[in-house]
Amino acid sequence: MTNLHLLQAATVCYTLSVLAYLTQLMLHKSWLQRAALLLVSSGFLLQSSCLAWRWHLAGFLPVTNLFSTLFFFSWALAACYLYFELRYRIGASGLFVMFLNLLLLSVALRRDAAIPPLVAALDTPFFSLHIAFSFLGYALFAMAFSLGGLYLIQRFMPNRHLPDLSLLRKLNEEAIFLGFALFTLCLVIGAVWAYWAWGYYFSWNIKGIWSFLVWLFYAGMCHAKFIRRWQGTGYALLSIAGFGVVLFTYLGIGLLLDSNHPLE
Amino acid sequence: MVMRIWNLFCSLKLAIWLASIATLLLMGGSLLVPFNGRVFGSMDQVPFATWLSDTASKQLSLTWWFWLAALIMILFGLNTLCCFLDWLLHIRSRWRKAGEYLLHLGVVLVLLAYIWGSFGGWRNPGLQLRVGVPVALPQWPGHTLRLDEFTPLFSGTGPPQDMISQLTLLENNEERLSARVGINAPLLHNGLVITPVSFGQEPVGLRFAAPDGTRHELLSGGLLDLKNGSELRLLRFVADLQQRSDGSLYFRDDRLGVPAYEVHISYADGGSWRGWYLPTKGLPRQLKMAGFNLQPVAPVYQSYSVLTVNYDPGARLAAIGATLMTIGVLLALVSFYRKRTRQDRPEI
Ligand code: HEM
Repeated sequence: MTNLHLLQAATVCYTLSVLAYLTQLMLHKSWLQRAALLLVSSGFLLQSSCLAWRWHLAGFLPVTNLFSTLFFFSWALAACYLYFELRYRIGASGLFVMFLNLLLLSVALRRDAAIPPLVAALDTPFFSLHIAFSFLGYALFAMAFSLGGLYLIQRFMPNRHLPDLSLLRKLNEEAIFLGFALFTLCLVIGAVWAYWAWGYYFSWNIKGIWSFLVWLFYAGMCHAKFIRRWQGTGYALLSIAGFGVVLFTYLGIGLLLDSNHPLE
Repeated sequence: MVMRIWNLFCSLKLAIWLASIATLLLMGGSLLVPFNGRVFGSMDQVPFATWLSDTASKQLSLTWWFWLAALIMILFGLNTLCCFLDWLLHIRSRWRKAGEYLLHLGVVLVLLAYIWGSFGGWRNPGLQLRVGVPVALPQWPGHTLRLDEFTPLFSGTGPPQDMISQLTLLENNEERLSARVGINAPLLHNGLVITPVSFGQEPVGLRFAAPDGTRHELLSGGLLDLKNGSELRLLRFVADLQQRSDGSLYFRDDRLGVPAYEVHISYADGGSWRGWYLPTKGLPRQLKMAGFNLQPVAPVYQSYSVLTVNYDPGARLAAIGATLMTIGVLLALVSFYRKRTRQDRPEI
């Protein structure tokens, strides 16, 4: 049995929180922001419980089919949003991440939630860690995309209710650095696992190449912030472009091309 | 002059340029990979350097971007190494960046290890091993691999849960090491890595019924004492024996077709006969004379193991690099906020 009621309840909480943030953007009432945070936190707790339960039922971290990866990506997005919200009270600045979260959940909820039996090759903690770090990294890159977009809005259409440019820049750089660090762990673990399973640690397939590209791109971004000319607007644009690379690596390759990481 | 080159290779701007160009080249080029299996399909089957010399160099119109990207990655590696050395030279004032620079060193080591493995390593992506039959490792003279036991493990229907091969590595016929290899449980030994790929089953003989109801498996190399004092030696078993129009014989693949034994009979009176016995086509006169009276019942199958046997001299260096990267990233993570509070960052 895979109880999806928890996930449905989480989706309701997330939807209400997005509505609360949107209303807060218009009415600027601080209680609305508190309510929204409460709703996101409740949604996250519900979704975490659902994840824990499915993990318990399966006996392994369930991330082996499209439903489970959408679910896990959405959980990672909510975790990342909460981290920034609790630390910096970003409020509606992370709305894109919550929208993306809702989008993923709406696709996931229409798919078969049954947990498929684990293929022997995936029966290793390397696999669970590889996937967990990859989605946590992706979630932070999505956050950087959101903050980058907001930076551009604030830069060209200033709004006194949005965080100021220097804070947005700082948060964007933080999201990129954290995402890069987690993605590095994802690649290192994936490489060790590949060596154990196939006898080589780097595979020249399109998914392997693009994962390396994501890493190289964000490694470049970890340095671009030191160069004055790239700070601010340039960095925001790079964050947006980088997320395009991430989306292609996660979705495009699995859906459009033949790969050893297909999406079912 | 030397100083200028040193400064150039310590420059962050060069790093960003190189990373950007490599990224763009690999992005464009990689889209050719899934559509040109003939050229790119073998990239994981052979060491990278072999692929470059045997395949990529002959298909420059499809692979030029690869050469360029490889060159840029080498420059980038040098760039990263210089940055690391520059940090070492200034370690007294910059020790707080240890995390970042362990990461840099780790990247350089992994790159070096990959180049080393590409030139000094070899790959054997589908070595078939049969129980008890040592197979020489062609790229490693004097070394053979022997499969002592093979057990595929199933739980219900579907793919196997594991494929356990008990292996012995021999060097000049002396046993060097023995190990069990299974899914996610490779044999690792001084750069040698052995992992399971798949397995198959092949007919190795037939089961026969005797008039008294007992069953006998007749396999290659077997010896049978016949009633009237003759002796039947089974020289070999062939799964499918075919005859050409000119009468010559040839063996088709390992699937069961027209099974055949090449046999040698030593008669009690001292005579002998060597020839073919095709159980599905009836008993030859010579066998009948020797008192052979068994009826074929069913084929006997034996599993064989298919393994990847690779050698990568750089694997240990890569592991050191990966460890440094991991420690570096973790250190950089935990020190990130403290350094940010101190405004501890270069502005260029
Ligand atoms: C793939 C290769 C590389 C990776 C993965 C990498 C990664 C990183 C990371 C994660 C940081 C920390 C950023 C932060 O504090 O937010 C960093 C900092 C830095 N990197 Fe790299 N880097 C690479 C190559 C290079 C190269 C080629 C150079 C040469 C110029 C370089 C020079 C620097 C410098 C100067 C810093 C700043 C350190 C400081 O805060 O003082 N890196 N690198």
